[in-house]
Amino acid sequence: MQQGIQVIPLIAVILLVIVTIGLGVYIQKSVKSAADMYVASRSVSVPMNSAAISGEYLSAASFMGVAGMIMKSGYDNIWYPVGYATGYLFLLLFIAGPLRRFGAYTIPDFAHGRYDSPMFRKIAVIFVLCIGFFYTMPQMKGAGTALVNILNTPYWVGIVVVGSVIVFNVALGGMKGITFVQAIQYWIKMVAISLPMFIMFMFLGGYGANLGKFYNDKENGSTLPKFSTDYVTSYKPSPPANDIVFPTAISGTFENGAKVIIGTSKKMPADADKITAEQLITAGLPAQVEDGTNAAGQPVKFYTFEKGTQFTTAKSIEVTKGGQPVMVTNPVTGQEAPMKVTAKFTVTPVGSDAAVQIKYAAGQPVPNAPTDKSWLEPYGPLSSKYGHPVLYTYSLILAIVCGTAGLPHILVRFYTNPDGRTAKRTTFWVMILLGCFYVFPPMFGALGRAWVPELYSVAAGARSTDSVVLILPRLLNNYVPVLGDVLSAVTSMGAFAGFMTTFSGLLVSLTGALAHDVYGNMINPKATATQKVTAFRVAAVIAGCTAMLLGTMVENFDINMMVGWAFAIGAASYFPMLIVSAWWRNCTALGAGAGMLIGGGSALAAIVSTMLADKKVIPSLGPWFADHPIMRTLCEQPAIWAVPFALLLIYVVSKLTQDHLPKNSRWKMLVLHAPEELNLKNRNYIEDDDGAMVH
Amino acid sequence: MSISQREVLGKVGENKLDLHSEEYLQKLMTSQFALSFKLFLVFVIILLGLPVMNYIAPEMMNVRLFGFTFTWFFLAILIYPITWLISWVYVKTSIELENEAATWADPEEH
Repeated sequence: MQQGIQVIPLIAVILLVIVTIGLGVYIQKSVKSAADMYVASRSVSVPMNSAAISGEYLSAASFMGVAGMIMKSGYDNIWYPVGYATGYLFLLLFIAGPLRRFGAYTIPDFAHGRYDSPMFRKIAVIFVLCIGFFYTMPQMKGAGTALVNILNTPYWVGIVVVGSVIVFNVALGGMKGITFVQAIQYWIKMVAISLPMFIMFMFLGGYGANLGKFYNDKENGSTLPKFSTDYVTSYKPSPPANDIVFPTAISGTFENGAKVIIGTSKKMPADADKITAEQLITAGLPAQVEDGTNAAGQPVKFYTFEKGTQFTTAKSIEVTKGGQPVMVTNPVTGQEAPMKVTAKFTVTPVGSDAAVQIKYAAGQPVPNAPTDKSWLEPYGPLSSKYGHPVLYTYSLILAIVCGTAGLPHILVRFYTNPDGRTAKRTTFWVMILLGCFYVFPPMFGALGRAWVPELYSVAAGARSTDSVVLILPRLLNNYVPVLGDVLSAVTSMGAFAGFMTTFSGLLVSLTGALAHDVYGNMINPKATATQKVTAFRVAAVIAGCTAMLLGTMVENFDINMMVGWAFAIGAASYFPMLIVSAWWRNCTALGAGAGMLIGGGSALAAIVSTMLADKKVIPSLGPWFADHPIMRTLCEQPAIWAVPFALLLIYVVSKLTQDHLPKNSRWKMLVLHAPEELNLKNRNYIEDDDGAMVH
Repeated sequence: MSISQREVLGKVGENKLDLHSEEYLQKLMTSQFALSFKLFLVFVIILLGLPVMNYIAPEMMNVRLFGFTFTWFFLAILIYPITWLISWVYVKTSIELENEAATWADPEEH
């Protein structure tokens, strides 16, 4: 593991930052009106716009997070990139055309215009802000993590650096400013993910060759990856990074002292015969033990391991009740087998150490790693976590596909096209550009498992599977000097471009909501063009700083998990609202509003409850979820109930409030669907200012 | 265009409809929705059918091909060109439909 400053990646990142700021300043000179700031004057060409949208879409999650999660838990995570790409198809088929034809500046604009309801605009703004901020958190985490890997700086430094550069760019140039930059950065990202991979194929073997190393037959399916060299892992004391699950007999040495709670890898059923620490550890159990309580307030024993203690965990222990083995049913195969558990450590450092260091010898199996078969095949660790893998999988797919169609910062992009037809063509090209990108992250996952399995040993944080895209290429230093560093620099640049472009797109969307909807419509409806532009700039700074602050709080969350949450909320709030607004004449503002607010709100509440449980903020919630795995599944992936719930609400409430139907709803449907050459008078909210110059 | 689509659209060149009439709106929305929905169905069957297949036929879906399992190869690679094909068909057909729909009524005078 390399410490210290990685010079070559640092140079690449600095270059990227300079180019980005430079482009931003250059574009700023050509920003002349509010229309430029908000929708790039609706004059972006198809090639430029499709590259820009793809660039914006490929966030830190796509660049780093997908590869990381595929390496961590295998097949099930491939649904993430597939969902991200195919969600666009959904948009294309039902939403792209109508949305663009209707014309507006932001999605809350659309909400107001479609229903003649200022109240609805307010509700829509709340969700734009909610979804937007949820989505910025993983970008900020990506920035922080990348800089930790490159410079060994503290986590928050990357956030401040990236955040400031983007706030600067957005404040200067708005939508117009970032479009060009995003288009270029798509190509940077495309090269950054593919070029290193092709070169790695030459030295490390191809995609199929590496996947072929993993067994899924009956005999060898339970093979675990092993450390190729001696390796020291650091465990910071923040959950879940300080939980270590040992899937089999593994030996390690504590390089510094630690207080350890020794538990079982799975929750023990009530009244099962107790399994003691002496059974879970076959060597190295210390004599020094004291009683205490864990974060959930339950009584536990803390074992103090001295510096230099070697330990070995047990292979697997059968769980019994009154001497009889407890049987569990495999949710996928339906077969029964005796329940087995292994050791799980929860470690905290003693004294003033920042983290617990454990050394593993070459040849030892890696802790936390899934077996070959469960990794390679569907219904592995990700979806089976709570015992209901098919439910989890469908809910995940629904969340991502519908969520893509419900992300305000993606939707607002349609307004940058000249008309409905180009909006559709752009979407088609976006799907091509995205698809070409998304075949690569799973390759990183596969090669990662084969070549850098040590990343499994810590469950979360900057040196876990999350960073496989940055760390895997460095291996090539062993074959060609410096080549590994160069390729790692390339992927770092791609990762940086990832969170920069997505963050900038999010910031424009958040800022647009604050400046146009909150300021321009609610606070000061008579704002002049200059005031609108200033409002945009001020809002950019406010939104940017808030996002940076939130980013510092999420170091231990999976990037993809966080993105999944933004998607789930979008899927339950915006997506139902948009699809119904575009196709059902009899939808009322109250109906659509109820769907958004209650549907989206309940999805949000469900997700936040799992966050609170995992971070142990509400300690009693964790065990409650453990006792109710279906509830846990449904709260972690709420789309499967929240989306139909929202749709149902919209329908029912609309039917009940038919007297509130806008009188000209037929005209509105016409505007949504009629070809533009029929010249229907469109509402264009900044139309009056189109000629007004900004100074 | 399929036969059913032609039936919905009516013959080209008939007397123009009033842009603001119910008839025009119905014709417009029904034809657009029919196209979108059909392609959506194709897509959904593939997308939502895969987890079911993985569940009921795991040996078949996990058969090894050049190192890959079939289901990994399908989900990680093959599915993208399938979506491109569906979108290409949609964009082409829906733009033709729009051009067609523009001839059914006269443009708005301003």
